[in-house]
Amino acid sequence: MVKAGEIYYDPQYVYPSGNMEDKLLIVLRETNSPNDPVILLPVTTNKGNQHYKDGCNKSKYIFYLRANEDFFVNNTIVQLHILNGITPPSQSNFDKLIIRKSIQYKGKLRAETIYKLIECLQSMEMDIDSDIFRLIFS
Amino acid sequence: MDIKDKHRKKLLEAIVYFASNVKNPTKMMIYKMLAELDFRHFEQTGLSVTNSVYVAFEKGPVPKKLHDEITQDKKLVFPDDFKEALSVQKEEFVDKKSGKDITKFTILPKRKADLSVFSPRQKKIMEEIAFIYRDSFATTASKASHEYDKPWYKTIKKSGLGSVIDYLEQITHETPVTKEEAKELQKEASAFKSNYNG
Repeated sequence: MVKAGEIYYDPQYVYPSGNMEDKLLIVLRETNSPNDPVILLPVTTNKGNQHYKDGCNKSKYIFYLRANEDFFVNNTIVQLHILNGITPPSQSNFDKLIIRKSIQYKGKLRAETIYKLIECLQSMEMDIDSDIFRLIFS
Repeated sequence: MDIKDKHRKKLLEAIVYFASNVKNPTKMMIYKMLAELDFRHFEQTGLSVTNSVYVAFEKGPVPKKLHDEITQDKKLVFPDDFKEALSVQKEEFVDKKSGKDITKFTILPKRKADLSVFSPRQKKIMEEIAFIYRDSFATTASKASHEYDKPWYKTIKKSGLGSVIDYLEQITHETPVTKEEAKELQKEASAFKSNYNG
């Protein structure tokens, strides 16, 4: 089972172009059974050095973490827009993906960061699918 | 039938919703309302709702994949995963003005739409569109959809009939993301979906 704030490393993250890259993913809520959905948020490095304010950038669908503020050593964008149009995998399907894609556990966000991230999502209710919003906040 | 692809589920539920809330839910009318939904939402957020690709036809925007999927010669046949929610009524007649043979497909809902798959913004836009088109016929809706500032109008002007309508044309100074950011959102959403859906 996964817990909120856990960070996983996917070394085989495939893009539509066919390119394979690595990807870090944050777990948003804990699971208690194999059927529970695992809600994941992918992150990316701010390579373009675009300017974002720290924390919640709700109109851009971004939660921004400065380098070394928490787990991440680079300026990091948490991609919140993926909550709009996704069916999350169940815990049992995620377990299969862990094996198939050699996904590794890497660490955990601090409680304060998880709290701010959740608070950000709460403020974005207007733009999160209602079924997903209910899953996160039930 | 359980639909795992959330965008496809949204496409189905949007059709059910529109077919339940307008007086003349013909195929072309539904296409127009779907396009309005996707392009209005894109303008406000930088993201589409159903992830459909539209082409600019003479009578308005057409969701290419859905159209190809349901059109079989002169019939409209819903795919298996849509059949529990939708049925179709076919009508053939001669148009008095033009003398042409016309085939009209009316889309009928078999159940209520499941709106839980949408965000509140998406639901609000759907309500607005249903209100605008509630009493319209396809012809008046067609006129509305050809307004000069609509993306399908711009597409026909720029690239000709049958061209793909570019979502990015819908970005205005009021859209909270730039064209580059919208492209990035799309790329990352597609990647995430193909790696972690269902």
